Amino acid sequence: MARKFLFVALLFILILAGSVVSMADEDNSTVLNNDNANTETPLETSGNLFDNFIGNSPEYETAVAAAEDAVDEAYSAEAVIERYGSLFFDEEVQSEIKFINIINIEHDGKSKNVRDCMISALVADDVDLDYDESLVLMIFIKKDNKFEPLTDPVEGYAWFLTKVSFPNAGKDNPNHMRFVVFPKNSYNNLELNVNLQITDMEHVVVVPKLKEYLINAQQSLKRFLDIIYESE
Amino acid sequence: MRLSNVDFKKSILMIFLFLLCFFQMGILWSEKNPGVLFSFSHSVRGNDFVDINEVKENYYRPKEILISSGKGDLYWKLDSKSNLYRSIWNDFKDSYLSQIIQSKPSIRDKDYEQSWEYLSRMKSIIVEFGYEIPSGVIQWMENLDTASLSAIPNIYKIAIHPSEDINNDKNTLYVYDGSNVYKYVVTIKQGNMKKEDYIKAIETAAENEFVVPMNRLITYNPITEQRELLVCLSDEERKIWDLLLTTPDRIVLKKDNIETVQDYLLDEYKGSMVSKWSEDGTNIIFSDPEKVYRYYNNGLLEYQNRYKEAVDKGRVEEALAEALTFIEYRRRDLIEGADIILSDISDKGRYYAFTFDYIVDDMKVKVLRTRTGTVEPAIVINAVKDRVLDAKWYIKTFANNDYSNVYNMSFFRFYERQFIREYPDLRNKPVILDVSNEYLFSDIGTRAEPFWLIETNSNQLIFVGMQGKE
Repeated sequence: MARKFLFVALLFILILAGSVVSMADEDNSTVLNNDNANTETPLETSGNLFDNFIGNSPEYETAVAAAEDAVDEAYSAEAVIERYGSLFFDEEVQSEIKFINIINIEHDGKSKNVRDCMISALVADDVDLDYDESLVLMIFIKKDNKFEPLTDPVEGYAWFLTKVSFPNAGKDNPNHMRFVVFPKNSYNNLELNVNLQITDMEHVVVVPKLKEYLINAQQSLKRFLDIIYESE
Repeated sequence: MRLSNVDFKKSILMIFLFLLCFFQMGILWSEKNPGVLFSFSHSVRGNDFVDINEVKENYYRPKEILISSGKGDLYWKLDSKSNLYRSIWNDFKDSYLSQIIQSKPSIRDKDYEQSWEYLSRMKSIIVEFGYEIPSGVIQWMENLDTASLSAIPNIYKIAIHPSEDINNDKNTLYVYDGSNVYKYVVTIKQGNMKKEDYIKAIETAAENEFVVPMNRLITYNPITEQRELLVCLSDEERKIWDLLLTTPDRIVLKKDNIETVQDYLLDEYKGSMVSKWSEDGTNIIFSDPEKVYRYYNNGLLEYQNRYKEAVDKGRVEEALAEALTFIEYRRRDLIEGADIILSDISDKGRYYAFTFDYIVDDMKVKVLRTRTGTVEPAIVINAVKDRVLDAKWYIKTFANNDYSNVYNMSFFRFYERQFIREYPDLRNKPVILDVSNEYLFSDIGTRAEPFWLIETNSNQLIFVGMQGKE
């Protein structure tokens, strides 16, 4: 009898326990509001939504390209140098206006040649170019009292960073440079201090003492041979 | 006393009913309550056991390893897939980090040894983490003895100067914690790269095919005041694939998939969880008296623990263990094609905030919130010593999309052709804090594309799509 009573009691306890669990409150009103909850209704789409965030729109690029092409059609660096050579290479000329400021001339670390350098120049704060405008930078080096191009002319909007290889090295052989800068779309009408900057600068390629001695000896020998060659 | 045949049958029936009742109750208990000893119902996931000690070291690695040419301005950034990168990082994980943590710094007898900038300009190899890693975290990551107290609070960057010590079995390390420099002379152990290998790596960096030249931006353009900010200025090119990001198939939010979603995303014991769909059907909330999960149909999982007050935040490594367990328990069998790495640790006073990023081909993959236009990390977890307080995680799996392009990595070219034309007001102003190339994906899209990200000192993050050659 006791065994039957125990079994029935156990059965009721188990049923009760099971019922309590299964009838647990499923009311969602206890859910806290999530402060970080995203209230938007995102859906996965395969479309590209980046177009609004990409800097240059195709229309913008086309406009820039069209404007640049129009200038490019007529512009030629060689023609400009030929036309304004007497002004560009006048020894006494220095401009007062500044389209660019030379920031740094640093050795190009990737090269083992101490003469290989990078010239960094920034367009001056007060120069305001339209999106389709650019400046032309020509760098010349003085050799035997004549200016020669140190590198190809470069165009820039805000920053010029160009590699050059200086002909001279050592503190006794400074490199005399001339920077010529003008707005590209004014190439047909260049006037000093109006739309043309001409700035001279000296740069010494620093080399170790021994190397400098060897370079000097090499250059002296070259000059000596040149004199002999010319005298013949 | 012998049982009659009828009584025996009754007893068998009673035992059967008893077992049935017990089993039914077990099912109900296991579904509604945590802590049941035996599993009474089938789980979609196989092995739920997470041994964080086996995987924790995968979550941290250097942001970059650089070889300093000794020319002051030029550095060579190593590709993380190169053997040299792996060998250097293995040396640190196997030996150097433990020696740094467990030994005292050497005395610095030269003036320059106190200047990180000077040291980093000398011929050296620089291991740079993207953030200041607390020593406790490294101690935990490397399974080091917790009794040994490190002399340095954090490790941010380490410069290896292999030529400094004359002994062949010693390497000199300068550790920078973000403000101070500490010098360590460590022992080169069996299996580590030899000293001459380090010296050779520095001397032949320019010929290494797995390097990209980097220059200090401030040397060439004063648009930054960050002396440590390095950018590529030469015309290096790199092929980059667009990425296809999808919510993993197993946890796509559908009416008939809720049980599987619960199995993957909720904690192991989810007995008394209640679920509620949003009215528009775009997300579902699972909650119990302790936790609230909200899961969106774009793969965004938001988690909150209701008990945030009066918590003991504990040590940072304890909180990190909780955060990593949270990720590791959920990511298995779901996320492919990308690594997840720890990108930042921040002490928020009452808790620690951990930022994680997906990484594909050395590029972070971040979220572009289309509604706000802001860029956010894919995973942010706030945790204390014994629990995760909050988490926000875009759960995505990755594959290459059907589109790739060749991109010029020169910052000069980008600045001149794109950036400054779009943002002319920033010209010649020292505003840039950081420059990086990262993937961005829209929170409502399935595609990630490469972008230039420019962080400015006015807390503005400018992002401009990279322009390919083709």
